[in-house]
Amino acid sequence: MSDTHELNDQALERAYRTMLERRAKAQDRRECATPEEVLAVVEGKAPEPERVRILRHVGSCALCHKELELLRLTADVVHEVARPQWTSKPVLAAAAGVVLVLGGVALWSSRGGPGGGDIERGAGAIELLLPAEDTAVSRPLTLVWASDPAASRYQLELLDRNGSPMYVVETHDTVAAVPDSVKLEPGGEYRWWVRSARLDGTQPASTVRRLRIAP
Amino acid sequence: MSPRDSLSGALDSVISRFSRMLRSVGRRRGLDDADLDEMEQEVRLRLWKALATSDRVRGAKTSYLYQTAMSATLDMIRRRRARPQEDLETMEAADSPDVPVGAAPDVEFERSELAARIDHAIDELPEPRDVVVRLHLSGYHRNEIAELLGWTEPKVRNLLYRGLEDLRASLLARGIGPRRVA
Repeated sequence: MSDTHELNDQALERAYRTMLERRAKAQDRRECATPEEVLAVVEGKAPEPERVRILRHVGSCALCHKELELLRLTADVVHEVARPQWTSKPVLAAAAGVVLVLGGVALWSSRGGPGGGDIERGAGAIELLLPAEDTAVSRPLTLVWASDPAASRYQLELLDRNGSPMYVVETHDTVAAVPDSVKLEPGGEYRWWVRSARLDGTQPASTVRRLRIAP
Repeated sequence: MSPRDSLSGALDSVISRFSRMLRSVGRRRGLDDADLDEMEQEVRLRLWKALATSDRVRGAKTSYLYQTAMSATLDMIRRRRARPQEDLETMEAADSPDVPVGAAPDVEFERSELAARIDHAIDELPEPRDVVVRLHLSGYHRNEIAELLGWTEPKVRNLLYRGLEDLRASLLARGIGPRRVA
């Protein structure tokens, strides 16, 4: 994307938000999504057609947008306040121990990322634990990474040799089991990485790690 | 320490953590202090009513805190909708970055017409690209859009890329080029 386009995108955003603010002054709230509908979206309880319908309106109504943000903020903050109760999973301790025996941090060497795309990556801010670098693993495939104390959730990507995503999942956990429906070739080489979504908007990421499926 | 002091200490501990996070995250997301003040008061009051003893405060599970806080926020929203004039005043008081106070009427007219054209062009985008584009222009990051819609980030990225391309082409066809938008 060129610099010129980026500048124009910002101008487009400004024009759009100004339009929403003006429209809100004369908004007939009988046309708005109900507070309960907005809550259902925030909690992920609305069926997809409803989600799309409600979010289409939220994206064109500054008042509903603000209400969605208030509910989302409450949900995120409660989860953040309660965070200490969620962490310290035994599996993490065990996984960390195994990795330390194998040589610990030295195994988390930095690798080049998959080609293409505009995925933001950090410099290994999230530590990948298991499987270790370039290990041959059997199905079922379970991936483990270290907890980021500031994370509100994680996104895992499993990539093929060309860097195309084969499996993408968002989770609050630090363990993800790759479903059997994801076809992984015996002897095939894959890569995986994890990105943390923090409440402050930053998204530190892991390095990209290779793994091989046992023949 | 009296039971009352004990309760106050335990509840204050929960509330103060909640308040700190609420303000710091809320401000980063662009919510104003008046909203955050009202939310904090609403949740504080609700927790005081719901957690009548210090044991309940200490033993409160995340799900209970969540339900209490969400219910308080939902009630606040319902109450605001019952008095829509307040929202109207808040919106009028908000700064509008594109239209300075006292802007010439013809400039205001031109900009409102531009905004209307942009809105119309988005309406004509194929579904569901229109939803992703609207949420993006409202200020949501791709990951947030993916989370809200329950889709993967690559899917949202693809829809957004194509949607913005369509939008630019549509605006160009309406005589709104890069210079005009900027």
